[in-house]
Amino acid sequence: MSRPFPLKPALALPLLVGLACLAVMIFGDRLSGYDHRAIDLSARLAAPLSHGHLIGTDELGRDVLARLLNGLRWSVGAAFCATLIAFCIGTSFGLVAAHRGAALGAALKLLTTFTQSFPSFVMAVTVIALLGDSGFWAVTLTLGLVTWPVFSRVVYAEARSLFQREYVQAAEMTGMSVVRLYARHVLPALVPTLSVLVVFHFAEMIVAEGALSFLGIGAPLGAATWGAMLSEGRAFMLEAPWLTLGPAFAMVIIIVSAHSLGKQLRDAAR
Amino acid sequence: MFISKSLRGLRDFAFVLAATMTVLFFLLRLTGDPAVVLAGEGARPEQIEAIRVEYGFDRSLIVQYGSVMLRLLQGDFGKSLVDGTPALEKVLASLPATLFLAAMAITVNLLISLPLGAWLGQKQEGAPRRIVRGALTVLQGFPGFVVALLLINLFAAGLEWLPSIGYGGPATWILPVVSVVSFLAPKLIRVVEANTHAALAADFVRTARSTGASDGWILWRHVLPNALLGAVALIGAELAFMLTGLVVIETIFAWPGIGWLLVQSTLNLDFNVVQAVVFVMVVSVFVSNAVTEAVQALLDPRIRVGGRAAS
Repeated sequence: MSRPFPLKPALALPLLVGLACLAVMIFGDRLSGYDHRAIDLSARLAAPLSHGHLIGTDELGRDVLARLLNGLRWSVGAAFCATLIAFCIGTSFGLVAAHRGAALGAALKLLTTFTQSFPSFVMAVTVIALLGDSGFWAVTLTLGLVTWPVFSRVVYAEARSLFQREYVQAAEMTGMSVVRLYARHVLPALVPTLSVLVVFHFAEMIVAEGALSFLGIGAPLGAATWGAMLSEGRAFMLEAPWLTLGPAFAMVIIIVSAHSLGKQLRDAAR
Repeated sequence: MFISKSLRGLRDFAFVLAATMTVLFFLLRLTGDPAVVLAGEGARPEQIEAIRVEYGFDRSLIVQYGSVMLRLLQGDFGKSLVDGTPALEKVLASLPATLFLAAMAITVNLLISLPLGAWLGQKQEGAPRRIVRGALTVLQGFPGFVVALLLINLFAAGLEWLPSIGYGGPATWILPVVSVVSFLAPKLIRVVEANTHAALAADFVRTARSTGASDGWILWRHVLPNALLGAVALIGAELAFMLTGLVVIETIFAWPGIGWLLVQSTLNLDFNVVQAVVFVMVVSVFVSNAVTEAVQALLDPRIRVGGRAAS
């Protein structure tokens, strides 16, 4: 891990997309020059590049690009927070189970099986019913709570051998606190694996969030999210294919960039 | 040893099933009041109250929980709150559609991924292989339900070659199966490719080659079985995933499987059907995992004797 991360031309795509995402997260739909809620009935279903709309308009004359940018805020934000939640839960469980021995490891395996066999759809619907209107946190929480075993399994497997290492055992014998032991001596060794996992997990969360909002779960009714846009666009597949193609390719670009970044991180860690 | 391992597996399964049904019960009761849905719009409070009493929703949660679990133990899943048919019957009626889709997808996936993965794994370089690898990378970026929408866009809405939804003759199978395979195949191809590559470098292949065996024979007899071995675990995981995770694909194509049933019954607050669907899902995931492990042991003597498989 002491090696610096090599800068390669293949990094250009994830880097550019990452910067673009950051800009959209900050500025939102203003970057398109339109408000994503502004209805313009004189320009309904306008084709891309017409009437001053880069990706056209939807059935109410709302600018598709502005809606896509708003959807990016929602999707990328939700995927990011869900990844963070899954990372925190999974890593803590994995570390403690690896540290405290076999019984906890077996318990963790049971908990993992349970979490993975519980249908995430039902979880999402019920969590949203519980949290009420705050759809964003309901989606984020659900995705995090359903997917953390991805992290715990890997952390458990890798950390178990780490706790056998002499430098970790020596550090433990000095009587330092558990948190400090984990943070200073165990987690740094896991960074290469975890960074790859985080990036791929983020891509998975983009898909999962898209699927949930496609089914009409999470985002409030009528909100401009990619899943909702895909769902609404189905009614206009022939007249206005850009309504489906727009969010579809927005999703694909984010996912392909994340995969590409993950692959390069993995190659660098080897 | 084998029997004690199976017993432990059964114990774990019983625990997971009980935990799932318990958590599900309390989560469902928190989502909403089915009596309001059952009574229909514009029902008077007395009517709702009467329904609540009729179905036992007025009792305390713990009492309801006890009676539901007791009935589940006896195999009684109750009746659908929406149309009164037995809940389990409803689930078992929709299971074949999901199993059929899963079986078709796995078959097509194998037919594509095995030859392609074996071909990719033989050499690292070359323009055709690099193009195929690039295409797979891009394909991996397409979520399954996005592929489904794009396919419908093109073949059903645009060209009008295929029906977009429904569960009828072979023409209705093509788009759902292609959608599912589109996200299963890249993973399987990678695994077969990596395993082929590793097997080609292994000692037993060098030995076989030194005996004068032909390349084709080596690939067929020594490399592919090993590549397939590594793929079994993934196929098992994919099967388990399809038994629970085809919710969106089934919804898009109006495919009457258990994923679709789960969505409908959850949104309708049809608690009994949701419980039956989840029960059947957990059982089928357990069965498919057990079958996967058995197949692996059957194929690989190293697992059978309790050793570790070469990775």
